[in-house]
Amino acid sequence: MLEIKDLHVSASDKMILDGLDLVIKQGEFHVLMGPNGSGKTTLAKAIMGYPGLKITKGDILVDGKSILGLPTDRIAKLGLFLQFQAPVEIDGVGFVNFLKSSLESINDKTLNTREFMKDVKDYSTALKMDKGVVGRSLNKGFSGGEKKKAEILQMALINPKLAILDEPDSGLDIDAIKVVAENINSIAKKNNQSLLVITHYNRILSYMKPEFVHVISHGRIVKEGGLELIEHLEKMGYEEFEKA
Amino acid sequence: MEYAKFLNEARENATALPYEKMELYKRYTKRFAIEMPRSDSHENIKDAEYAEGAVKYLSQIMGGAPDVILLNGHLIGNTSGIVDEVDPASEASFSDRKLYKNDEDKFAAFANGFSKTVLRIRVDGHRRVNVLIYGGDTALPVQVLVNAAEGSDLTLNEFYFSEGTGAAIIGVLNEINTESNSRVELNSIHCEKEEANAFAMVKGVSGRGSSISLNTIYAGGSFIRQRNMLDAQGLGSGVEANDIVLGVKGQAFDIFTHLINSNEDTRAQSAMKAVLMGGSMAYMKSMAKMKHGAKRSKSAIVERGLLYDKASHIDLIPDMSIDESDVKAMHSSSSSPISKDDLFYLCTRGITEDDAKLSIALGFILETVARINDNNVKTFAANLIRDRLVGANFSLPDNMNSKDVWMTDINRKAHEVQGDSDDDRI
Repeated sequence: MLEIKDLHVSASDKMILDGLDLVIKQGEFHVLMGPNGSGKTTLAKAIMGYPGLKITKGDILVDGKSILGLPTDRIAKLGLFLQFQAPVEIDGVGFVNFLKSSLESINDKTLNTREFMKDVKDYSTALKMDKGVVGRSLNKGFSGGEKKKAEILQMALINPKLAILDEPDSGLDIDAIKVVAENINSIAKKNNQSLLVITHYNRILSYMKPEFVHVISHGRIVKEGGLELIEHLEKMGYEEFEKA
Repeated sequence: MEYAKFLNEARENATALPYEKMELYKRYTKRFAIEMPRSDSHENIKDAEYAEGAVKYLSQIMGGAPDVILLNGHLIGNTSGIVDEVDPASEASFSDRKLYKNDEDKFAAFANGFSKTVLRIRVDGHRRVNVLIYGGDTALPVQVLVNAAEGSDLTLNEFYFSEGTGAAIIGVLNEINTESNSRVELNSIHCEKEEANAFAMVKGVSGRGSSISLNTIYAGGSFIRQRNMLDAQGLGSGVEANDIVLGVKGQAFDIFTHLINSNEDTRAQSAMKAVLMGGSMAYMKSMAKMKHGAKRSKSAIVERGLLYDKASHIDLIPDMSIDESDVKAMHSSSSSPISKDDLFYLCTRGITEDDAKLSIALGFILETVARINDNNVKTFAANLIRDRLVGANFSLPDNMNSKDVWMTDINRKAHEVQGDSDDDRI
């Protein structure tokens, strides 16, 4: 599904990713863990074609075809979704209108409004979202938890092939972490989606069952494994990898 | 002051006063200079044909023909029943003007000195009046004097059009006086051709418990200059001005709103929003004055600018003068380009960059458009703004520029109501 080969990425002439390799197949659940500044979010943004990043070497392939140079909306239409760590707030852009525009653009067809609203209602209920949230401007005035839930709601509606979730647990209380994790599990399983969860901590992972764990440090994958690696990181931290 | 003396002084002022002393106008002076009317040819057939198209267009939008039609500074249609025309050279015209008797502003002096038409609107009860203001090849200003009786409710919609003629100049001077517990909403929609220039002034005084709301959409023209002065004079009254600027192709806008809280428990608010691209520029200033004695009053200024490109320029200037301690006042001002992060976010959801920009700009502006109470105007303004943002040049649909006699029929009916003759009309 996604293949990243020897990826080198810089921003403002500073190298952030330094030869990163990663392969994610359809339906697989991967976790990317690493200390602050190791390049996790940069990787997510680079995959989605963030204009402020410069890819100096390597390639990113989706279903065997390079996506380098593609505009972000085209990458999204290939089935990639990024849940933002800190989603932007945009005044005046209604959340529901935005959702509908997004779905219509990705699916290239006009939606039946009644069916669309039913889906919004069903998923927002499952996520235990405040009813008033969907009637507001995009992320405007949302609490940290509401923002994260709104992102997962989008993931559910857009139904991507691969969802990259950048710190889906940050800003959430214990109960909300469980709700969000359960919804991510359920949405991904139902649609055989691939998942790449980026996180510092294992809190949310206690409610999820990742198959592959990668540790990133200084812009490259330095360790790979399974659930046992998460337990190891919980005990030992990232120090040994930062020195590597 | 005697009327003759007033008129002479107004004309002298219009000719002698420097247009503006501010440095800013060095930028604008090449674009436009107020001058004596270039001609008085309101019988220009071409303009009449285009204006006819505008009438039809507005009829579709507003669900009926405009109640009042002004062409090149002349009243050519009036079916409103509450609007009457006063000869500007008459004493009656002079005595009806309460706010424009001093000529501190050159445009006011110009309008006072050279108007061919003074419209008086006296409303009691609940009314809506739609006015088509069509500018052609003259520079004749129009004056509109509104008097809202106690408990009345007036929605006055002014639609500024020009088509066909090169550098049209439109000038409108509005004066609004409200008696107690009345409400006036003045919605002005500028959709002139790119070559046109428009000058408008609004002076309004709100009576006890009454409100005046101005909503102005600037989506046309080459250069538009607007001056608003709203005084919350009556106890518990409110005044509000919402100015929405959309500069697409090198247009220049000069907007100044002056709010005054003169009495206790009054409310004053100015909201200015601008989206600029294609080398457009806007100078937008709000000045709020809270007078001594205006206890428990509120005043707010909010100014926001969104720039599409580096070639565009905006000056946002909030200003407050507060002479009373028991008040609430706030002002804020900010301008920025469209955020790259905002664009990226929308694009990750499959929305193209152009559509993302459109969404952001529309959301930015339509929040303020939503304050318009008149639903037809609100919808028209939203559609107009969308069309301009996607790059459509504003013009009337082709099938509206017909050359039939439809407008003549409208005029005839209007004049029958007024007992007027068609001799000097189109």
